[in-house]
Parts: sequence; structure tokens; C-alpha cells
Amino acid sequence: MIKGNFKIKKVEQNNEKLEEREFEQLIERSGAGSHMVFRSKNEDDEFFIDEL
Amino acid sequence: MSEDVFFELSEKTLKKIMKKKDEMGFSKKSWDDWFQTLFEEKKSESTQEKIERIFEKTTLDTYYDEWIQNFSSNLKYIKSGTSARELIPKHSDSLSSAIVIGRGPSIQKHNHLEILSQSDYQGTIICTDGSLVNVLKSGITPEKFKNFFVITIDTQERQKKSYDDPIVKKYGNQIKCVLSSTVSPHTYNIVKESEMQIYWIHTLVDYDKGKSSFNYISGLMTKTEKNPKGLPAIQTGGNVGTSAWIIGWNILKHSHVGLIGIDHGYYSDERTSDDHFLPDGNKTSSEFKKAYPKIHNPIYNVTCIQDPIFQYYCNALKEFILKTSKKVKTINATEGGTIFGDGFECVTLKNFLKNYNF
Repeated sequence: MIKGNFKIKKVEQNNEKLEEREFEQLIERSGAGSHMVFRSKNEDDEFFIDEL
Repeated sequence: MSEDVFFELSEKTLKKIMKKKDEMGFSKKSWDDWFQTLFEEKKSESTQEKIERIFEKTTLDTYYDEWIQNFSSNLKYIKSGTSARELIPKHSDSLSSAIVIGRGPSIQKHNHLEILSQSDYQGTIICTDGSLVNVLKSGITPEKFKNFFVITIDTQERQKKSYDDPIVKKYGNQIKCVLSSTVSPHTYNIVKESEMQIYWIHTLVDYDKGKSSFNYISGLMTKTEKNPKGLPAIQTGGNVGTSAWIIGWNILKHSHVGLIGIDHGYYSDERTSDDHFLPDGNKTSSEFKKAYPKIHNPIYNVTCIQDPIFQYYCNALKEFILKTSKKVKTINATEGGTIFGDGFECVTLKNFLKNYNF
């Protein structure tokens, strides 16, 4: 077995991360859409499916 | 401040870790950089993808139970009712157009209902439910415009208000109403009482999750001997306006679909929607401006304010219009708003009525 160690440094979150979180919180607090956009790996299924 | 965390691992595991770090192009970079990349799931996510991911979660958290409860209540009426498939024409080779009527602020600003009501438009009228009463009151009625539809996909009980007016009752028996299988039973009841012809449809939400999805299960449950294929299902783009556009070319098979009252934005800070919120906090930050951008429409020289929900709807609709531009010609006659770009033309309503009256 090999013994190792992680040296843990407390790093301040960079501005980019904080801004990203602020943006996500603004979206979360803006409400819920009345319905939702549907995504599929099969793009042909994204608009209309004749039979589920 | 730092601390040491000791760990033990086999030589074989260490070799695998070192190899993986090299393979990912991190041989000369720090362990911290590599770990951050390994655990950063959203690194390459675009703003649109981020907004969609968040709204998918909030919409499911808010409405999923309601969809199931509503579907359960509606099931007996769906099974004995009519599928929206019945609306698909047997032959659809010729040119034909429909106009989708939303309730965005441009509709009043440009007197669009009055212009349309006074026209001799021969195409199909597709009202979003929220616009129905004003549309009928303006003189756009199924007596004058024979192919007259209204759509409801939203599942909240409040949607019944869209039908709660004597004028709806007056014209109800001449209107075809497309209802999502998950609408509130209260909405179904008021539509039924107004004697509209009801056509049921599924709205796509999670079909990509396979056999455990609500779409798959509810699809199976609507199949009967009389209707072995069950109901067709549509993309909603998150809102009734995009659903109406989808129905215009996928169900009704129109070659051209026009839009009015589809702004997906506000012209002032005055807000009108029931479930769009403006959070408290710093409204001057760059992140706020990204979430609530001002969109300048250069065609009509107007500026709209969007909120995240309108960004969500707008981005999806513009993407869908571009992707399908070879299948359907979309003409935005809203004369403002945030829907402009590649894949479709923006014209005045008067020009739409002149050029696409078929």
C-alpha cells in the first residue's frame, strides 16, 4: 500500500463562481414556468410524437 | 490555514489515477485543477442550458404532482372523448396559413385584434386561452372566421378564468378547443359547459426518461379499443403560445404560421404575469442584467425587458423556429417584442394578412 496525504488549503471562492451562483439564484427565485421545454436525444421527437 | 488529510491506496490504484490525469491533459497541471475539472459538471453549460436546467427542476417541483392528479381526474373524459389526432387533415399538400394570437402587450399597442377582425382572413385562428375573451369581444368570432381554435396546456385551476365569460358560452359550440391531458378538471368543466368541441393532447415533459416516464405511462393509459394509439404529444416550449405554433403546423398541418401578441418581454417595469417574480436585491449587478436583460428589437426600434421565464420561452421558440424553417414558414407579425432573428420574417399584421391570406 502507498501512503499519501492531501494538503487541504482553504481557498476563497473566485468571483466567477460567486457570480454564477448569483445568476442561478436569480433564475430560481424568478418563478416557475407554466410548463416546460422538452428535450430529447432524438431531435425528431422534440416537436411532435404521434403515439407515446 | 491548511491541514493534512492522510489516505492509503494501492499502487495499482495510484497508477490508474496518474494515467487518467495524464490522459485528460493534466500531466503538468495541479491536482486541484484536475479535481475541479473532474467534478465540475456544468463547466461548458451555456446560459440557455443553465436556464433550462433550472426551470426544468422548478417546474417539475412545482407542478409534477398536479399534472398526475389532473390527468387522473381527466382520464375518464379522455377515454370517452376525442383525440387531437382527429384534427390532422388527410391531405395537406396545398398552401394554408394559421395565425396564433397571444396576449402580449403588442396586441393592444398596435390594435391587432381590431385589424384582424376587420380583415377577410381565410386562414385558421388559433387563440391562446388567455387571449380568447378579448379576441371574441373584438369581433374575431367563429361566425366570421370558420376555423377557430383555442388551446389550453397550463394545468393550474386559474386557467378556467380564460373561459369564464358569457361571450365564450355564446360562441362555444362553434369553437374547437385543444386541451392538454393534464389541465385542471375545473378548466375541463367550464370548457365542457360552454359546449366547445374538445380535442385531447399530451404535452411532452419527460418522454426521454423511457418507460418510467409520466409521458409513457399516461400515454399507455389513454389507449383504448376505440383509440388504440392514444393521444399525440406535443412540445410546449414551456407556454401556450409555442404550443399553439406547434399545433398549427404539426396537427393542423398549415404550411405558414403567423404570430401576433407573442412578445416574450415587457415594455416597462410594469409586470402583468401571475407567476413571474422580481426578486429583491441588487438590481444593478452584471448578473441581474444577465437574468433580466434589455432586448432591443432593431426591426421595430423597441426595447423590451425580459425576465428569466421569458428568456426561457423566447430562446426555445427562436431555436425551434430556426430548426424547423424548412418544414414550416413562420411569420412574426407581433410588430415588436423579443422574437426576431434567423429562420423567419417579421412583418406588420397588415402585410401578413395581405401576403398570407390562404
